[in-house]
Amino acid sequence: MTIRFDFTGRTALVTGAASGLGLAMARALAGAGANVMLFDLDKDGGRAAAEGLNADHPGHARALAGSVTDTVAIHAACEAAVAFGGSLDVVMNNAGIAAKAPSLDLDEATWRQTIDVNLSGAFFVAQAAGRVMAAQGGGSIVNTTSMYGVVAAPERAAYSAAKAGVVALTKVLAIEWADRNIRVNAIAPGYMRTALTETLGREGRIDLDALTARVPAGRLGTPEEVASAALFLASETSAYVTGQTLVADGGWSSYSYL
Amino acid sequence: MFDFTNRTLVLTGATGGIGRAVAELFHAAGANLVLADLDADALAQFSATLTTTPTTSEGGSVQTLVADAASPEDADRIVAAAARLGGIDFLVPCAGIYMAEPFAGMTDDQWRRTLSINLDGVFYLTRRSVEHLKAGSAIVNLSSMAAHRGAKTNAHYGASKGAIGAMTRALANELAPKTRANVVAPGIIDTPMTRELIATRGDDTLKHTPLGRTGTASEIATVIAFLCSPAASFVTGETLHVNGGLYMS
Repeated sequence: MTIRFDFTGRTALVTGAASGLGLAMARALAGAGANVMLFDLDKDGGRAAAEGLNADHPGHARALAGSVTDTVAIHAACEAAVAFGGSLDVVMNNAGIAAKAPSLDLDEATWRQTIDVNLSGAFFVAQAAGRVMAAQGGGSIVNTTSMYGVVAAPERAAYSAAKAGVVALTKVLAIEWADRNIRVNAIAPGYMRTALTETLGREGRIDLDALTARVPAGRLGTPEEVASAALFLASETSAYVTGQTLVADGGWSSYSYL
Repeated sequence: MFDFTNRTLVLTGATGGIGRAVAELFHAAGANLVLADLDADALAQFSATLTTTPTTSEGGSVQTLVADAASPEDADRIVAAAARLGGIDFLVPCAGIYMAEPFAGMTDDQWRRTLSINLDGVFYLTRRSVEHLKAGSAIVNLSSMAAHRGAKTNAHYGASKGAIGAMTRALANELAPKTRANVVAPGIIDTPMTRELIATRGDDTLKHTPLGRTGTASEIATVIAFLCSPAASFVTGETLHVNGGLYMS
């Protein structure tokens, strides 16, 4: 039993592509035939990720280093994607940072940085990509939000507010750009088993056993399966879906604790 | 795009607009089909078309049952047929009715008939299916935008479809991790069921639909297939809205 998406001849930009979910998205897109421009703050990580993808899919990946808080760099990333593949058809608007702190103690710099990267960054990437897509006649943008943009948890004031902002941003852009043939949707992952969560678990900053027990599916997600749900949103399979947030959380947000 | 070879789909309302598109898509993907519908002639004709349609894979079997979606006994017969094939991979109860009626004039029979087909029937079928659902199986229930947004003539329909969402979230919790259960909530889809609605209210509705058109049954079927596929392996208890943006406008 398989599902296969075909992005042959399409060009995708993936932000936050050096690791975790972004890397899984980039790998899935390259595997589906897309040319993928990897954008990440981590220059070496991004380059290594692109080399890894090219080993399996020769010529399908390039990397560019930069921050989603830098509109000049974002513009350069969109231009580089077009120069690479001739168009910009898919954007996985994925770069983001985690932030967890008691709200009574949350410092101003952390709040501002979290909103700046997770919400403002998402907007400026969508805006730059939207300009290219509007000019070329269409495209598909998938914003990475979080189940914490849909449901809440304590000590995530900045993170949840930013991610809920991305849910709202997704709806606004979807309506605004529908007549430009640009679809805008969001993927909202729950807890995933990544290098980051493994490290946080080892350091005692999150309790992986307790989190796993909380998920109705009885396990954390994998970046690969969340990426596959994101590919569905990017693909023609979802041609009539726009403005939506697809939650991939193993049932976390549907569970009422009863 | 999808490969469901050796998987078994149980589908009610198989000759309806969306049901037909689901059957065609899963048949093309090689699944074994257990198709139920109240209309014996339509079912026989549709089944004959399906079995003469070439598929991309070796092609699964097609079994038909004339059944009333509101009948617990008929639900038993449908599940028994699937059990004989070795169990159920995908359960998609598509049978549903919509009879436009303002609330004050709604008869007992209209209310009960709507609830009995759209909700009770899904309960009967799912209850009997539970022990035959295979590991990694998926349930996709059909809700509606009417479950989330009100309208002037669909209190019975909206109530039945709202209940489907709540029931499915309960099922997602209860049946995890063996079976995933999700909901598709279509907006205005061009099918026989919505023909009158589109004729009377279509223009006004389309004005508020960002994508500017009604959806097609096959655009619902592909979303259902996605929710059944491994691409959605971590998605359970969710509702996917497929409405061209109408829901948020």
